[in-house]
Amino acid sequence: MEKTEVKGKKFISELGNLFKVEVIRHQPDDQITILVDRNDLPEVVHTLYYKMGGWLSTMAANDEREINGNYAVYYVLSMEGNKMEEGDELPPEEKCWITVKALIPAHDPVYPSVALKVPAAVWYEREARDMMGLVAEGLPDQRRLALADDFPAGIYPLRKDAMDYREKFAPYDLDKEPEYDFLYPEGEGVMDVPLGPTHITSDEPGHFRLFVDGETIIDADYKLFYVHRGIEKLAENRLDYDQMAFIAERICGICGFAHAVSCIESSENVTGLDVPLRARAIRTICLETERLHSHLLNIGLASEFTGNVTAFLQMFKIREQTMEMAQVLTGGRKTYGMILTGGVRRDITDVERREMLKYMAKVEADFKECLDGIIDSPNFLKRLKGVGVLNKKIARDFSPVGPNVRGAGFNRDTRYDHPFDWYKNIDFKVPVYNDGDVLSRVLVRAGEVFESISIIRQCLELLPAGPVMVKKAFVEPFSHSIGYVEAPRGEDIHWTMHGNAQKVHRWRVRASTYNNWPSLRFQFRGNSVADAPLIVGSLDPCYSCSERVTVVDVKKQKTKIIQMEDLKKYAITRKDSPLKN
Amino acid sequence: MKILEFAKKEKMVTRNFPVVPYEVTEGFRGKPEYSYEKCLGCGACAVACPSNAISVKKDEERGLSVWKIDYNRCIFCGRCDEVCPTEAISLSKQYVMCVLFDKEDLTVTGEMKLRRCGSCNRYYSTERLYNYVYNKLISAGWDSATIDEKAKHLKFCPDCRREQAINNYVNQMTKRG
Repeated sequence: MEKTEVKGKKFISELGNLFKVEVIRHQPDDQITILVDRNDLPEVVHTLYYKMGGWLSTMAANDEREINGNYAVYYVLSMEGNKMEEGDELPPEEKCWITVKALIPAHDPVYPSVALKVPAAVWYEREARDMMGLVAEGLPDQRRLALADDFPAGIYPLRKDAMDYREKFAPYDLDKEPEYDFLYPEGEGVMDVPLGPTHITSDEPGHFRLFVDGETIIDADYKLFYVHRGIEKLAENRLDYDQMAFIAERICGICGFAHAVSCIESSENVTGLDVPLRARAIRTICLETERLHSHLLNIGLASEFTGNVTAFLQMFKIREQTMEMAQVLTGGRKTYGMILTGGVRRDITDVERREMLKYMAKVEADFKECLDGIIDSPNFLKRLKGVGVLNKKIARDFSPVGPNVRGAGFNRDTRYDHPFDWYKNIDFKVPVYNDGDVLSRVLVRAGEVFESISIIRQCLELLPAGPVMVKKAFVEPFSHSIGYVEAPRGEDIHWTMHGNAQKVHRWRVRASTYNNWPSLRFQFRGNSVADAPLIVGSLDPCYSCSERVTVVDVKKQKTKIIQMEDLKKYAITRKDSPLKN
Repeated sequence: MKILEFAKKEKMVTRNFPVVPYEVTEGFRGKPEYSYEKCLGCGACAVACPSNAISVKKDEERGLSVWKIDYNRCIFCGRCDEVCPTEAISLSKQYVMCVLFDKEDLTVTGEMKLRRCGSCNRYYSTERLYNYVYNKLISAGWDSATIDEKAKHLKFCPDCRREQAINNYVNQMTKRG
C-alpha cells in the first residue's frame, strides 16, 4: 500500500499553538490521536468542534490501568467543516478523524465535563459515568443513562475488575425499584404524557415522557437502554476477530451488516490491511442493499402513521424484492454472515449479478410509481410538513447523523466525507433538504433509495476481478482505531482497542441513533401529541417502542393509561382525543 | 389515488405459505444438516461456530464423544460447513426448524466411540478420527514401514506425544553429547 500524507496535520499544529498537545499515532493515515491534559479537554474539544469544523462522532471511556495505570477518555471528532451554509466545509483532502485522548488517574477518576462546552457530549459522559465510574465534573445531567435504576451502586460494569461474574444477584423486589427522575417542567396546567416504556421484541424500546399544555408538547424527556445487552463486555478478551463480526451483526436487526463492517474495519484499519477491491465492492453492495430495505420500511411506516396503510403494504411489497435480492447475494434474507476480517465470505457469480440487476430495475420502477402515489396525497404532505423540525443550530450542537441531519440542511454523510470501502470509486449524490421536518427526512430517504440503486448498479457493472479474501495480519496489542460506516440511519462508529492474544481489549459501539436521541427533545417541542409517534418514527428507531401511554395530570395527581392502539388511531384520525375525559 | 392504481397492477403477492412452500434461491443458507455416518468427531465445527450452537463433549463414563447442535442458537452462517473435512455438516435449503412445536426437533446429537491413549490409557480422540487419519496415510501410497513409523504418533494423546518428543530429543542429545 502506498503511503499517503498524514491528514489533519494542519489542525494539530494550530492546536499546538494554544494547548500542550502530544501526538500519538496508532492509526491509519486519516486518523490522528492526540494526548492532552485532562484539564484542557473541554477547551480542546470545543476548539476542534466549533472553530475547526469538527463533529463529535463518539466518545469512549477505557480502563487502561493494566497498560499505564490510568483510565482514559477518547473523544473522536470527525473533521468535516461547519456546513452551516452550502460550501462551508473542508476540502476532501483535509477531512480526517481526530481523537482527543486524556488520561485520568485511577485514584482520582474525575475530569472536567466537555458537555458544558459541546452539548453533543452529554450522553457519552453520562454513559462513561455509569459504565466506568468516570465522573465528568460539572455535567449538567447527573442521572443514569445506560444502567438500570436498580443496578447496585458502585459497580461499574466495564471496568476490568468490576465484579466476579460467577456471582449471582438475589432477585430484586420490584416494588422497591427506584423511580427514574424525569425532568419536569414547571408551569400551570402542564400534563405529563409518558409514551412507552417497552416492547420486548423491539431493539430500541424507550420510555418517553411528553409534557403537554393542552395538545401541544412543551418539552419531552426519555429513558432508553431498557434492553442493554452488554455486548461490549461480552466481546472483551473473549471473542476473536473471526467471531466479532457475527456478534456485531446482532447489534441491530436492520443495519446489522453496517455494524459488522464497522467492527471489522476498525481492526483492519489498525493493521493497514489491504482488503481486495472485489471484497470492498461486495461490501458496498451489501451495505446499499441494507439501506434499500431499511429506507423502504421507513417510508412505508411514515405512510402508515398518517393513515395510509395501503401505501405501507405496497412499500412492503417492494421491500420484499430487496430481501430476495439479499437472498441471492448472501444466501439469507438479510445480509448477515457475509463478512470476515480480510474480505467477504462469498463471491458474486455472473448469474447472480445478472439476477441482481433485474431486481434493481424492478425495484426502481416500482418505487418510483409508489412514491408518486404517496407524495401525491395532500393528506400525507399536510401531516408531515413542518412537523418535528430540527433547528439548524441545535443540529450543529448535538451532532446528529443520517437522514435526520441531512433533512436539516447539512450534507453530512460518512460515504461522502470519509469514503470507505469502494465509495471512492463511485459517483453518487447526497440528497439534502433544508426544512428539517419529517417530510424532509422522508424525502431524503426517498432520494437515497434512488442513489442506492444507482450505487449497486455501478458496483455490479464495475465489479473488479480478483480474490475476495486475504489473510489477516497481526494486530499490535493496545493499538486502537475506529471503523466508520454510513448505516441506513446514519454514521456507525466502532472504536476498538486491541488487547493481547489477538482479542479485543475494549470495544465501543456507537450506533447511529445514539447521536440522534439527545436532540429529539427539541424536535418534540411545539408539536401536537398526535405527531409524537411520527416524530420518533422519523428518526427510524423501532416503532413498537411507544407501546402504551400513561397520562399524568400533574395538578390532580391522576394517572390514565392509554393503549398504543388508541394513540395510533388518534394519530391517524386526529379525532376523539384520548386525553379528554 | 395513484397508489390504488399501483396496487391493482399486480395480482395478489401474498403466498399461501404452509400449503404452498416458499421457494428459496440457489445458495440459500438454511438449516445445517448433520450426517452421522460421515462425522469424525474432530470438533472443528464446534471451534468455528461463533454462537456456540455446536458442542462436542467427552462422556468419560460411557467412553463416548457426544456431538450436539442446538438450532435455537444457530445463526446459519455456515462456518461449520466451511471447516468440516468430510462434509458431515452442510447447509441445506431447509428453513422450517421444528414441526408442531416439538422442541426435540431443535437438537441433533451424535455419539461416537472414544479411543484410549496407548500410553496413559486416557481418552483422547474418537476411533473414527483415528481410522480416518490412518486411512489417509495409507492412501498417500507409502510403504508399510513408513506408515507404521508415522502411525506411531497417532496412537498417543497430545500430552504423551509431547512427552515422548521431549524424551526422544533429550536421548538424542545425551547420546551425542
